[in-house]
Amino acid sequence: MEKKTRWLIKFLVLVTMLGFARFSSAADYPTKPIECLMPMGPGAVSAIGVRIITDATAKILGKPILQVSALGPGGIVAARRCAMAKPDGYTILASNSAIHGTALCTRKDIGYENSDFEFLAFWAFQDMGLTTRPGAPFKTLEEFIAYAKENRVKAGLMGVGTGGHMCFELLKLEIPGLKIDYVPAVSSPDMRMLLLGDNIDVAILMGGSGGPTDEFTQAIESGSRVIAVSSKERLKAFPNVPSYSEKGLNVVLSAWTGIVAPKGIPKEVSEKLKNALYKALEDPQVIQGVEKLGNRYLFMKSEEFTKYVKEYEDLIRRIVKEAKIPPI
Amino acid sequence: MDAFLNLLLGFKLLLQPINVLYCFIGVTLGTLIGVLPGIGPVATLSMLIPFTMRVDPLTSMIMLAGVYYGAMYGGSTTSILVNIPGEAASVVTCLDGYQMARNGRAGPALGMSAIGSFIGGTFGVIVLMILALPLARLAIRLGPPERFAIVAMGFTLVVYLGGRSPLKGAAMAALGLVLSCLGTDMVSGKIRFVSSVPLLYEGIDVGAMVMGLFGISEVLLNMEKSSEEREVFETSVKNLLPSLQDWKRSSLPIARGSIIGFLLGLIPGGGAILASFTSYAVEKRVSKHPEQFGKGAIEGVAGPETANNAAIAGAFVPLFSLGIPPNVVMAVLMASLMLHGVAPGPQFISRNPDFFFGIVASMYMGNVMLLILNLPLIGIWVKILKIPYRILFPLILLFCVIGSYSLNNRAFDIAVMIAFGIMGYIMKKLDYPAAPLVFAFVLGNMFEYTFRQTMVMGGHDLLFFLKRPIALTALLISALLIASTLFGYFWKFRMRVADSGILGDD
Repeated sequence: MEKKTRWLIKFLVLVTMLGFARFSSAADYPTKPIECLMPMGPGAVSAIGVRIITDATAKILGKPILQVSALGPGGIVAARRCAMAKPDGYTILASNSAIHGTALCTRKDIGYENSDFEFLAFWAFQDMGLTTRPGAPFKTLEEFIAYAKENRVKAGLMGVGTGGHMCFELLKLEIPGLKIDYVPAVSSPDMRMLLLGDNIDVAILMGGSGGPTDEFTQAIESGSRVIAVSSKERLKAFPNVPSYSEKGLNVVLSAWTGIVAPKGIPKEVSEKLKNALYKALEDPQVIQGVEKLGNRYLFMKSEEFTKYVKEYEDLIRRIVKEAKIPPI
Repeated sequence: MDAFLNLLLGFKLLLQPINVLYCFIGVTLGTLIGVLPGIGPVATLSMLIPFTMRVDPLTSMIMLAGVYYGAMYGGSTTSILVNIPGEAASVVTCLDGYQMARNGRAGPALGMSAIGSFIGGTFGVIVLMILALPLARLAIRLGPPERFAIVAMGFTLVVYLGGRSPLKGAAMAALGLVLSCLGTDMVSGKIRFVSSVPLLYEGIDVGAMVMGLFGISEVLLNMEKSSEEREVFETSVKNLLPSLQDWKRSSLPIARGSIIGFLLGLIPGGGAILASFTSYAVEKRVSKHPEQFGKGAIEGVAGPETANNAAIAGAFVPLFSLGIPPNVVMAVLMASLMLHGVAPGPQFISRNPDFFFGIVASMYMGNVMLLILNLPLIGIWVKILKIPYRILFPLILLFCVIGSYSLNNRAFDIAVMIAFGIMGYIMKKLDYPAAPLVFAFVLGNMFEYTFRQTMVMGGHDLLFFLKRPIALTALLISALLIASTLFGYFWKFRMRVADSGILGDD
């Protein structure tokens, strides 16, 4: 063969191979481990819940999913890293309502917007229950409201701009005239100690899935009462606790968790990733594990999740504006 | 009687082969991570949790608890040998333990530390077993005002934590308080001072700080010395076990350390760090020869080591009887229990006496295992000191670098460690003690937020403290301690002025 023809053939083969190479990267996804950014440290209870899900997903995808902690208040450091990461399907974020709602709307200059993310799968709510201290002089929501209009009530707060804070503020917006002083608590065990020790009158605890490990159950066992819950309907596990909605108060606000990724992932890769997540989240073992850790399992696929995030962001922005919460 | 019978039941459960095996694995692993600087119980426990899912709750808890108190045994080893605290709680052991090693008395230091840990741990377990529920009721009464007052009392003792000058100690404590402000304020969520440095949003990592201030700075100092001076340190290792004199001097510190440790372990937010620092300060304060502290006084090793192990038993009290974990490690333990569907809470002990006493029994056994494990190891550890320093110090640096990276999986912590290493070197040259800085840094956040909590509770009125007797007592003791320190300081000043004859001879 002529030298030129040989070169032409080599060139064509090379180009074809390169073409196949790009093609194969999507079809072979994943070819290396996936990084799951975590807004909490590896020892946190919520991290364990995420691990249950990512382990199951990794098994389906065939490559490990490694947890990488990126700590920062409200999860903003992890969120920013995810928003700026390459959208190739190898970075995901174990996200939550603080990142896409409360922290987003109360902090300035965090470096990301909700539009920077693709919302893959929603997996649980963590409902907020208004809990009284063991000897409190009010036993129902109505009694609490009446009491709080006359006396200053000490309420435990996990920090400005948290879900609990929003819930209290929403309650104050719905019922003007409540006198609530916020006593800061630095962790959930700290909050429960304050409640048990009669140092605060009410606190918002997270839980609602029932079972002995649920914060509501533990509080009730110590003599507290859960007098209202922030889910739309009454919780299956706590049928005696009314929801704010049924009492005519438009307070529907629960914390939640989901898995997200940076926007712009190629369609085939994103489909594969999503399907693996959906399959993992429909696995009964995963559901059981998640619920044991105190979450109210609810599975939403990508489209529904994206819609919900918009609603949630709008709700939080409204609360921040009407309650005039100063930016952090 | 009831407790004793339940304990026998506990031992019966414990003595199944798998529980014994997991206990052994736990304490050995714990000792190992305690010895290695950097990686600590929290990270290890969270990594182990998936492995414990396949065994029953009691077995997994036995292992995880073993890792925790094993780490307290191991943490003192590197503190004594090379002045690198394996855990933040082992920082005080560096002060006198390392000096004892330099005097050739590494063996007795290691031995007394192991024995003190054993006695503290066992004492703590006994008290836990008998008094868990009444103690829990006490723990509930410790609200923000009381915790603030106790930490304040700790701060007044902090000036005794090292060096001859209480003033320098106070200055370092003030610096530690400032450093603890860097990062996110837990109450308002605002980021203080470091808004342009996301790596510092969670504050400086105490592990990196401590490895730098103690370990790296010591390496830098030693490199300045000639090799002959270092030879002395390496070769003259005398007896391997504590002498009778050591025992006599350590007995009261161990007794005090057990009680102080257990009580401080109960307090949410307190724990092993507060316990070991407080024990050291108390021992120095009540000692008849305080000037020996910092030069190799065995009381400075025996007391704190006992305290930090007793504190672990104390930390189990709020966990088991209230379902409230008093520190991060306990929170991880509780998470593992939750995964098994076991919920610690007020009814926990009465509903699951077999579980509770099974764990109590395992803690006895674990402490014995650790003592048997650690004592013979002393001979091996001491041989490490015989390695020529020019080979040893690169190894020390290597372990420190790996250890600081392993804290958060980021290289930034290595830089933090080196920065504090240089700072520690300068501090040592100028005779500024590092221990008060670490104490203030670790407890600064708690000092601040308990005060803020108290102020909101009390309507922003300082007189609120008058309504809380326990808090008021602790605050008065603190005031007395400050007064006596100042008095002693000015008395010495007056003596020096008088002796120097400036004021004339009339």
